[in-house]
Amino acid sequence: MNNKEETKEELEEHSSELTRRDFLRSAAVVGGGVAVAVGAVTVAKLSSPPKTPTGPETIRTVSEMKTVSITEQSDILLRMQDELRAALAKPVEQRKWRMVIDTRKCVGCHACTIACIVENKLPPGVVYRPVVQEEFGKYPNLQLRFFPRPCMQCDNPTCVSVCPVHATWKRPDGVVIVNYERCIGCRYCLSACPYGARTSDYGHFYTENTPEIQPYERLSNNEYGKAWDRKGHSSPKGNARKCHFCLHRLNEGQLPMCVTTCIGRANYFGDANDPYSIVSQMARLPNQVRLLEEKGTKPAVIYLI
Amino acid sequence: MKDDAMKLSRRGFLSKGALLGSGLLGLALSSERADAKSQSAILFAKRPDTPYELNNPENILYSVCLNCNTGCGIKCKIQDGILAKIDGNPYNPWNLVPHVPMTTSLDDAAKIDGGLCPKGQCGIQIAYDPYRIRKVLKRAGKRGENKWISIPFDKAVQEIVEGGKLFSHITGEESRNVEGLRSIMALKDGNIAKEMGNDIQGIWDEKDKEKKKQRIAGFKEKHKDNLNTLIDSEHPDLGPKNNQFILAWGRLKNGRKEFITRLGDSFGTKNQHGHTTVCQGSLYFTCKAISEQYEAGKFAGGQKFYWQSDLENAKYVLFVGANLFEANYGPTNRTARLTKNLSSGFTKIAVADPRFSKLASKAETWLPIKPGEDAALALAMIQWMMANHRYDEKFLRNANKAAAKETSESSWANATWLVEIKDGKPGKFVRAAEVGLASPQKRKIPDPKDKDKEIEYEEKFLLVMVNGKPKAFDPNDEKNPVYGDLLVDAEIASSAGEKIKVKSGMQLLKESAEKKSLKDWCETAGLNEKEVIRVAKELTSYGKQASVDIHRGPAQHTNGFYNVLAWMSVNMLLGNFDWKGGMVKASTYKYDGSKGGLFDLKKVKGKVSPFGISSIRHETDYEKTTIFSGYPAKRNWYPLSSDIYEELVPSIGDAYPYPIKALFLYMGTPVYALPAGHTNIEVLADVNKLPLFFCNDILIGTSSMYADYIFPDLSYLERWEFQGSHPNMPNKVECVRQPVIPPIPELITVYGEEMPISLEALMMAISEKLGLKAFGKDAIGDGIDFKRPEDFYLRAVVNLALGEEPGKEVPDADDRETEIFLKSRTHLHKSVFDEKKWEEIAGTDNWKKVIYILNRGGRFEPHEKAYDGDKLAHKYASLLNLYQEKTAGKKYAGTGKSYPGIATYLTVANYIGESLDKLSQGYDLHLITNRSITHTKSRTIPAYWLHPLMQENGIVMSSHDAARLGLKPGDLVKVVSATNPEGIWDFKNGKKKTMTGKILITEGIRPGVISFTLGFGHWATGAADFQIDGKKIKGDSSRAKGIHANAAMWTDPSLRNNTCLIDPVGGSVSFYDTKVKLLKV
Amino acid sequence: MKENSARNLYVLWAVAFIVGLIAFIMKLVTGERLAGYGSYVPWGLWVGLYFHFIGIAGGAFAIGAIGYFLNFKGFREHIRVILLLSACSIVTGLFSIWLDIGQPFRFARILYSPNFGSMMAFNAWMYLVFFVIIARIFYLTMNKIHQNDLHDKSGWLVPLFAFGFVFSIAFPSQSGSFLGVVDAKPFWSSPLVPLLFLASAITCGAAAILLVFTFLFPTQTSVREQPFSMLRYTIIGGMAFYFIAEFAEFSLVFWSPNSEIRTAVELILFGPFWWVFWFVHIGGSIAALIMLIRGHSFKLLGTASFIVVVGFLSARLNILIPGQAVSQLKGLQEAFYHFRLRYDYSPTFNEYLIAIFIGAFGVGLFYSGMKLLSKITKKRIGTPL
Ligand SMILES: Nc1nc2c(c(=O)[nH]1)N[C@H]1C(S)=C(S)[C@@H](COP(=O)(O)OP(=O)(O)OC[C@H]3O[C@@H](n4cnc5c(=O)[nH]c(N)nc54)[C@H](O)[C@@H]3O)O[C@H]1N2
Ligand SMILES: Nc1nc2c(c(=O)[nH]1)N[C@H]1C(S)=C(S)[C@@H](COP(=O)(O)OP(=O)(O)OC[C@H]3O[C@@H](n4cnc5c(=O)[nH]c(N)nc54)[C@H](O)[C@@H]3O)O[C@H]1N2
Ligand code: SF4
Ligand code: SF4
Ligand code: SF4
Ligand code: SF4
Ligand code: SF4
Ligand SMILES: [Mo]
Repeated sequence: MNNKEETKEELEEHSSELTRRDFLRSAAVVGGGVAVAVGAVTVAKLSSPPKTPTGPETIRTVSEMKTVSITEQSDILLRMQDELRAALAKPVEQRKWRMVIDTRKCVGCHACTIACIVENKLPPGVVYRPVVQEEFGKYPNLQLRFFPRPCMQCDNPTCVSVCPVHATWKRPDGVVIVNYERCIGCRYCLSACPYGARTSDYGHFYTENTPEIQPYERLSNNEYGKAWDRKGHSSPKGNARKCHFCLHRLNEGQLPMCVTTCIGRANYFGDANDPYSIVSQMARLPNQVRLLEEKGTKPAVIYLI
Repeated sequence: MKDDAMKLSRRGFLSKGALLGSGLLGLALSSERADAKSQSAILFAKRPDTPYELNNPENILYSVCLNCNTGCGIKCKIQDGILAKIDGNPYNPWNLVPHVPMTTSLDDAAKIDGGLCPKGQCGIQIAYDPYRIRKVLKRAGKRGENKWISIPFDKAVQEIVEGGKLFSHITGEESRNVEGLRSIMALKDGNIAKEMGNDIQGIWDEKDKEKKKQRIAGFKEKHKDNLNTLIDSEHPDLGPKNNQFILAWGRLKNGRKEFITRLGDSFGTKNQHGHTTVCQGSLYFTCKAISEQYEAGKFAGGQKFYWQSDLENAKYVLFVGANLFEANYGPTNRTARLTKNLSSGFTKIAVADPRFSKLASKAETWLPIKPGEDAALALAMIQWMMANHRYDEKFLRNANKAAAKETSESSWANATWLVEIKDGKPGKFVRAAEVGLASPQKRKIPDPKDKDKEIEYEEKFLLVMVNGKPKAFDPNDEKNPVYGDLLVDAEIASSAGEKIKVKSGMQLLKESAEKKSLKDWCETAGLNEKEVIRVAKELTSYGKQASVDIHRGPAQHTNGFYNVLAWMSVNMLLGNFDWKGGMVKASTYKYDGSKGGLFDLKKVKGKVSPFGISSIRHETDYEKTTIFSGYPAKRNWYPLSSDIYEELVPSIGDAYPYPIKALFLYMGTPVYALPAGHTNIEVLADVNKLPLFFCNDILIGTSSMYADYIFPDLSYLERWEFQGSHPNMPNKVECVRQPVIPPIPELITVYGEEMPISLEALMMAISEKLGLKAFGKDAIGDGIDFKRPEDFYLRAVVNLALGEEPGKEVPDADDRETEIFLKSRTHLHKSVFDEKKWEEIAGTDNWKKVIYILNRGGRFEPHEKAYDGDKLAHKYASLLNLYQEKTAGKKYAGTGKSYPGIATYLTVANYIGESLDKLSQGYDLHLITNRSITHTKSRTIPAYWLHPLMQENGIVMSSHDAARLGLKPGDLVKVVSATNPEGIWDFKNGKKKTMTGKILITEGIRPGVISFTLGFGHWATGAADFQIDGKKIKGDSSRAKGIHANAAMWTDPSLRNNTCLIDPVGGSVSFYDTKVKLLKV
Repeated sequence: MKENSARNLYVLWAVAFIVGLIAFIMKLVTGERLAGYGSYVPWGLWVGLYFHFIGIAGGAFAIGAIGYFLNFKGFREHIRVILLLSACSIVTGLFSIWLDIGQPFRFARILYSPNFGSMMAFNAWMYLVFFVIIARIFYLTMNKIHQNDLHDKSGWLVPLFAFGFVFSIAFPSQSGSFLGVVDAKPFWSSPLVPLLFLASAITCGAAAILLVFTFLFPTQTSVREQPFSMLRYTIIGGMAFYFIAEFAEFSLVFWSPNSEIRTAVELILFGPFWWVFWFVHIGGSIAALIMLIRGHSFKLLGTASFIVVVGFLSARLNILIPGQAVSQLKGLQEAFYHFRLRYDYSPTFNEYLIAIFIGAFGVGLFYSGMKLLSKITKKRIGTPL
């Protein structure tokens, strides 16, 4: 392309007229670009979520309690805890954690809200399980209803697909988790969750307006079986946070904190894949609803009314 | 790591200032701890897995909550030496239903978490509250000015004991000489005190005026050498000067109680008073009156307690003014029992409350009763029950113990006993021997005051009608059953031929219930008649598995005593006492050795038996005293009740019956807690009315801010106590509170022993300085010292562990348990946990049993032991007074009239019995108050986790009233009443706070009634700025939010407006009778 | 421009930059504590700015490309100014979103570990590609024989322009879909939202170019001529379209029973920030429109375009914030109180200062870009830049 003719040719070409070659090249570039983009998105949509441990290594042997006998008469907390053993004896992909909340037994005490905050050492502004109160009717015919709102662990979680960095995903056992180390804190997932179930950690302390921040606020929590503390700007400060069904406790054969603390025993928890578990029995009752079903999120948390 | 924490905290003790700093707590923070295989497989990430430490028994201590008085079991989980999480104790019946047996291993129990209310979980923040005080604070400005200096503990104790010009550094007080405790304790000889006490009883028991005078003269002669120890030798029944020192408390529990009474009894002051009447006084004292037993011919031995329903087995419960899911005794235990049965349909409930409480949301029927009209509703139901024969006739006809036995009841009522009617008024039960229907019998019974003695008396027998014929009987007879006629209105002839008009208690109740028609009663109570009948029908459809469960709602009125009696009468008609699903009486293991055990902890050495009239004039008949001066008395007298909180401070103000020189206040704040508590400020802030005022508090509180000295205390997570039980708990228990975190207050030395400043240390140090014998060497027995708190507490645990008789002891802790016991306490400081010392105190033989109990946070019988067939295992098994002879024999000091002995409808009135309509004029709203699950008075506002649940309270109002008054949600209003037209708290320190709050609108409250939630609107308690050692410390304004409208509650004009309205019989304060109006601001 | 007013502008800029810088440093130290957004309204002023700058970038490029192809006077010879403007806007937009994220130092994850299923990751990559395209076009335009030529020597200029044009149209509207895909927020799910975003992008892009052009050559040309008339009409048309679409959206809402959207719209019109809609958005736009229609002086045009560039931020915010301000679960805010758990949002002082900093940053970037690049390019093309 160095000789003079060619240059001349080009000169002509470089007039202000659009040429066939322009069109061809443009079409190729644009088309190629779109194809790549569509491909990338499709691959992303279809690809499996980030790897979660699965298989035999996830089997947990929780030993039976030798000194307590658990019967039909036992506190439901003990009975449900006992059932966890069977679920944990299976690899993770064969369990499906479910929570059923009986609003007829919930007395709106907020014990679950607090239990979760303390267990997970949540700072101000971060809450996994607020209890919403509704009043309806007119004096003297009125009613109050309370519904605690953990994460619904949706089967179709709108919060997951929006995450730009694969920092949040649904595990094989149904729990939607956040990997704090990956999360960049863009808060897209917060917007995307119709339940407001995700909150961001803005680095506050409950005792920040007192003479001294108290050390219990700086203890590390055990979310996801790891130690996360509140030093400097490190995670989970700056991250999206949400209810994780207390995986770190489940892993130990213990029920989620909000379940054990509940003074109304309004929560049923267990393996939905076990058709005979208490939670499965409760999950088939006819008086059930799920929150905002119309959003298509397919919540795994069920409410009895 | 734990060692580091220990060392750090040790250093902290020595170096830190007057407030809690976090440096004190010591903390080895480690973000990334050792890898843990155990957690693998949740998440792949760079950060290493870390073990879950909170279910390791070596990090767990069991104790008892005290964030409200329910006293649930707690499981305290320690992380890096810091209390990190509090859950429910699975061994404790409050937290699991049924609880796991004590035989459960600690390793298993560590994995089981029980339920716990939100406040209980927030104990961490109460203990680690940055505003907690660590050193003794002495006033550096005027009372209430909130300027302090920190001074050494010993110096403070020295000053209090010896007195002097203690406040010469304060302008106006340069020359004020404060009398110390040593000089107040004028009478030091216990024997003389006993003698004087007996002689004074003699004066009181003398009815004849002249003879009384002679007796007084005799007294003066006999005790002439010691008359100078008396407050007033003309009125020796005021007692010794020692009475001019008051020991008062708010929330005091057993164990600690003994420290106060040991000091009080060896000091010789009659004035040791609690806060019962601000709480649910009349509930206690009505039940006390119901439980008076016929002993030695009269009624005595009534117990201060009450009953609640057995929710595990109840089929129907009518809750009246009982705020079950949010308050009561309490959310954790009662909710778990109730919701299960509600959802299975086993139990149905109704709620009578002006508010649609959370409990009401689970009820079949809500009766939005008009406040103060409980007796109207109860009597309506009684009327209906009588008219429709829906009462337990079989039970009620039992006249004595034998009859009860034969009909397989354990308790019996006096419904059939005949009462003499004089001048149309019921008085005493007819004594058969007095009317010649039986011959008197000489009998002996053991002296209840002294087990070794016996009392001789003449039994005159009582009378019932059997098939229309009078029959004498002995109520305590266990062999010969007597069944009386229920409704008796007759005349009998005495041997002297006199006609005596008699009625049965049942008849009297019927008449009282028929004073108005059913319709009128319902109208009075503001309720729909049909609904009332429906509830009555339901209530009477489940036999003994139905009950009425009441609490503060009916009790805290000027007519509280009779409201409670009316409701308890319904229970008596149901005959549900001691039955599964009926009325429960609490049952506890004895820790003090009063029923077996190794150590007698009740006996106080060197006791100077207190005598005389108490400053609050309780358990004394006004008429009998030497200061009787007609009616109305200057202030009320309380022959049937005690612990009259609202009388404490105003009586000091009025110097009635005598002036007070020193007041010690522990864990209570009358200023904040009482209705019209602002009236107390005037006295507390006045050094002339109250020359010496010292407190024990964990921070600078709403009352302790007026103190001359504040001694820091251990929070409930750092200390010992025996929480006991509550009347809804069918299992026999004793819940043991014990230190779970290192002490926060400064360490000091008492009796040569190192310990943190605390109530115990203070009581002991004062005793030591005064040279009293209740503490110190050999104080518990020969060779058994009482030099540090554990000397008492561990021995009490030994008593618990050994049980009431041989064979009832708990097993020994095995090696693993002992290991856990020690490991879980490595973070505790030597001053509060010292293995060697402890073992020595407990005795090596008992040591492992002590460990066994402490490892479980108390002693709890297995769940199934609570029941015995269809009855409760732990029974009341005594007489129930439907008609109360003793009550009927007492007089109002306000009017000189006698009290009714049967459930009666009374309208709200002031001290001298006048109606309060005048105060209502122009005030259109009825003010009540209630708790929410999130707060306990002034004790939970430091718990920041609770703040987001309810940032602030407000004025809860019906939408009808809001529309009428043109108010919108969020509008700010000021609450004013006839007795506080400005609507302010005047703190007498130059500062005022108006009672303004936000309007909250709901359908769930009776129109015309407004309420506010307790626990907000603080002005101390870390909410406002103060100064220590010249340094300003900023308060946290988030603690000041909301409104505390107690100051709007009516003061009693017939009591110089220096106190709230009172229930003259049961002593209750009136919380729910005031009319107010709201001014928009 | 007179010396004086130029100095004033410098000073103004310097003040804005320095004050903003302090706020920015405070933010770096304290994390997100000084910001006012929370968890129920997680995106605030800075995200609004981000969308705005991205819109300007796309709009400016699109207008630039059209001007270039249709050979309106001033476009071909000044295309690199527009390219620089577009590139700087992208950088500024990305800067403000970088500031906004909770873990800013993990930003690169989007690039090396993206989830293309997320509109955010997809967009991030688009910006990157777009930036490369701009850079390439910039380079190629220098490789023309005459500045008024359409083609460069290699012949890739036109295809790249075409590609860039597609991008520039795509991503402002995608910013709309960025929100639109969030089913959780009904107000955002309207198909009109991407259109609104596109319209405001074109309008603001044109206004930004106009603003720059009024500075570049005020004396040589008449405002009645190109490129000014084309830009003016684009802005006028863009605004007109925007208002019609907005009216459609709002009126639709008032006829429809869907109360969530209705609440959002009511918030915009009558909520606590009603004045933003009525004064800034409507009032500002009308003022700008009048100036643009009458517009015979550079000053007037400059002012108008400035108003549009700054004022249209309100249009962004009025979609962004109210869309989040409605709770799907009634009573959630009351269930647990924290100022970050509220459905109302107002930016904090720090946020405003940092917003000013971002603006100053963008202006500074563009200005120094002009200076620097004209040094490099001056010789070969003979125009500034
Ligand atoms: N969260 C919490 N729990 C607590 C405590 C606490 O401070 N906070 N404190 C503990 C203590 S010390 C106590 S004494 C108990 C108190 O326990 P409760 O007595 O059960 O609790 P309150 O909220 O005082 O309940 C009073 C109820 O009576 C209603 N009421 C008001 N006036 C009337 C009336 O005239 N008639 C009737 N029938 N009802 C009326 C009120 O609306 C309210 O629902 O709670 C204990 N538990
Ligand atoms: N409006 C309204 N008022 C009420 C009620 C109501 O329902 N409504 N209820 C009433 C009832 S039932 C009750 S029982 C009373 C309670 O009345 P109180 O017994 O007087 O009140 P508390 O809030 O328990 O007392 C708290 C005081 O003890 C201090 N304190 C807290 N913890 C400790 C500690 O560990 N050690 C020591 N030494 N001090 C400590 C606090 O700082 C405070 O000064 O309130 C009554 N007041
Ligand atoms: S509730 Fe929200 S956060 Fe939880 S899985 Fe569903 S969409 Fe995600
Ligand atoms: S906040 Fe974190 S988890 Fe949520 S979308 Fe952004 S990166 Fe993903
Ligand atoms: S399951 Fe665990 S994380 Fe989720 S709300 Fe309950 S306590 Fe919180
Ligand atoms: S702890 Fe249980 S009863 Fe209380 S609010 Fe939560 S779910 Fe309801
Ligand atoms: S009810 Fe709550 S605050 Fe009261 S004692 Fe129990 S756990 Fe503590
Ligand atoms: Mo109480």
